[in-house]
Parts: sequence; C-alpha cells; structure tokens
Amino acid sequence: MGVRLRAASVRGPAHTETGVPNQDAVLIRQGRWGWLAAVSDGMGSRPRADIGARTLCKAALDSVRELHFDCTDRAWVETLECNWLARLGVLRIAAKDAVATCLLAWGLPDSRFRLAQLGDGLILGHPAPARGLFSRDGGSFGNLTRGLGLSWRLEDWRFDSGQLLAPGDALVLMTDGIADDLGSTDGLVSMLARELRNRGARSARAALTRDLTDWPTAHHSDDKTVAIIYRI
Amino acid sequence: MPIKDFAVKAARPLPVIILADTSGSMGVDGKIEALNQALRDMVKSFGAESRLRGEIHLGVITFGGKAAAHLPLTPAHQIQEIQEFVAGGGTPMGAAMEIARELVEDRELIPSRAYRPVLVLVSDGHPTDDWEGPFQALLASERAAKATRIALAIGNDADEAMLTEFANDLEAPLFHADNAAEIVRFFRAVTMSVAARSQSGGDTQPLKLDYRRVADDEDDPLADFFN
Repeated sequence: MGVRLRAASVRGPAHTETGVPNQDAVLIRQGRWGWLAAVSDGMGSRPRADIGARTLCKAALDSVRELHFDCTDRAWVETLECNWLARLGVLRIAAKDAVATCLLAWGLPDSRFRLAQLGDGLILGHPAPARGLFSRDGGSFGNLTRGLGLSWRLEDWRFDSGQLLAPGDALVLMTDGIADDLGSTDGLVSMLARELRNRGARSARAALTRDLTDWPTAHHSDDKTVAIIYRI
Repeated sequence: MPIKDFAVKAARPLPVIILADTSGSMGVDGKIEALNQALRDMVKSFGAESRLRGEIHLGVITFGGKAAAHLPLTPAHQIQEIQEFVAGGGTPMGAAMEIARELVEDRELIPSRAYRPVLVLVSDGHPTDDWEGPFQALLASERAAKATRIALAIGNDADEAMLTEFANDLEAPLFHADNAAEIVRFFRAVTMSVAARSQSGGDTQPLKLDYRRVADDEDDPLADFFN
C-alpha cells in the first residue's frame, strides 16, 4: 500500500514552431516526509513566464519542507510566495515578469492530502473533488487567468483536503492546455490510475507524453502538463 | 494512455462580433458600400487564415430602422457569403446592445473555453432609441466586461462620448473614419489584429492595434485613425 506520483509535460505546437520554451512546469517528489505534486503554467504574455513556472514548483517544495502539514492555508500561501519571490530575487527577475498559475497537491505518507489552486487549470480527484477544485466559471474565457505575481489575495485561491483511502483513489493536476480541451471528465481520474498502476515512472512518462503530443483538438497550441497521484 | 480520448476535437473559438450602424445616414457618401466591402474583406481574410491557434467565429448585428442579428455567430471559414447591408431608418443602438449582451452571455454559443471575444462597434450617429439602460447593462455584464471592445466613429456626427465609453482596450481607443476608404482600412486593421491574436495561442495581452506608429508608415493601416 502506498502512493505513487507520475507526471509529464510537453511543449505546445505554438511554442515549438516559434522556438519558445515550454512555459509549463511540473515537479513531483516523494519522501519520508510525504509527497508533493506541483504544476504551474507561466503566463505567456510575460517575458520570464517559463522561469516563473519552474521557480514556483521549486518554491512549493521549499515550502512544504518548512511547514507543518496542519498549517493554515494562509501560512501555506504566504510561505510559498516568500520562497518564490526569494528565488526570483536571486535570478533578478521581477514577479510581474514571471506570472504563473499554481496547482498543488501535498500529502502525507498515510495519504492524507491538501490541495491548493491559483488561476487556470484543473485539479480532479477520484472520489473527490470529482468536479474539480476550481474550474473556470461560465463567466470567464480561455485566455484570462490569475497567477502568482498578479494575484496577491488569499481569496483568489481555492483549497481542499481529503485522503486517498482505497487502491485506485487518485488526484490529477493539469494545466489549461489540457483542461480547456476536455469534454466530460467522468471516469478520467480512475482511468488514469488504472492505466498507470503497472507502469514504472519512465514508462508512465513516455505514455503520457505520447498522449499529450498526439492531441486531437483542432488547432490546439498550448503547452500541456499533467501530474497524477494514485493509491496502489 | 487514453487521456486524449476525453478531449474534444473542436477548436477553441475566437468570437468576433460586429455591431454595424446601418441607419439612413450611412446611405450617403459611400459609407454603407464601404462597410459592405469591409465585411466581405474581413470574412475572406478570416476564412483564408490558416495559421490560427483557434477558430474565428464571426457574428454581425445591424441597427438601422430595427436591430437584428444579421449574421449568427458562425465559423469564418464556413461563411459562403454575407448579405449586403442596406441603409435605412433610425439608429436603434440600444436594441443592438441588448442583442450583443445576450449573445456574449450565451454559454452555449460561446463556451468558457473560447478566447476572449472581440466586440467592434461602428456608428456614424447618435442612438435614436432608449439606449442608456442596454448600454450600461452590456458594459456591466460579466462576460461583455471581459471582452475586448473597439469602437469606430464615422464622420463628425457620431456620439463620440458614448463610443469612447464603449471602447475598453488600452491599445485601441476610439478610432475615427472621415471617409469610406478609412472604414475599409479600419476593418483591415481589426482583421490583422484578430488574426495575430489567434496565431499567438492564448495570449493574454490586449488586442494589438498598432496605431502609435508614425502616421506616414504605409504598413500601419490604423495610422490615419490615430487622433
């Protein structure tokens, strides 16, 4: 019994054709302290968005190593912001030039987890959150989002918590390059957990990369990144 | 790994909605003919654009005598021809605003995965109906407030105060056209800008209408509109 983490990220056709680096980033880590999956999408209009996203994932890891799992949501976000700004400061990059979304799943070895999200993208869970932690409401559009470096209010974040109790229980974090092109997501999370159950990390990454590269949506352009956490 | 089995095949739409004044005053000085030519050119350009990162959907609302959906929101490449405008009647702009608001707020026609819509208001006169309420409702509506709104004032009799309030794109304040040729050039500039946005794929920057370039730059179709 335990928890496994898998992830993949591919550069979108728009960035491949123009030679722009992948502006999504993903980090998965697991240790005796627990586990973390961090997914971030750098805002394409900002000049250092790719670094913003990568730095955010590293700052997320810094934060969970500093904090107690039972800390408040505010402490979690404030610590993350401080660590992100500190890392950007070393690189002499202004936060406004590195705006990035943030999707986090932080868990303990006993598979209790906490979720946090700022901006676009989707966190889905089986059995929960089945409808997504924070999907775009009907009043918005595909090219409007929030992100760290742009939003500094706790109210802009969404949080949740739970536990992966049974084999097959899972969480999926994805950037809007995937989420915006999905139709119904019914069965998606449990399908991924089932498909990945017998794959090693390298095999899982290769399979996911193939899937995200061979994407069926017409004229799709965006970078695509996914992280999956599942109970075995 | 069938994650892609959950993806839709349809491209993300980029809605462009034209609110066109077709009142009687547009029937002089070749204005309505210019508007017809401009729309034909726009449809042709959008339909031929192959480098898109989405799918441009064009809709046209006219207000001349009465307000009506002249062209329902349609993928540009599927538009075979667009019915020519005929100038006549008053300027029921308020009613056109109401149609535009309902269209932008329709989650079925414009899903949340769509790119931010572009609303283009073109007028040579003052509204003749009870327009203040619909106008404020449009500006305040959740989705129209997030849309890019551009306005073109034709001639000297346009309600510039209202058109200025309509426009919300910092890169594109109120534009002016003093003759038929400038109407065509304005639409060409909008076409180029929308195409550029659709090629960028999810760009969050304002619509680029590069009016700040020097006025004698022939490459800049909007240079003559800069006040």
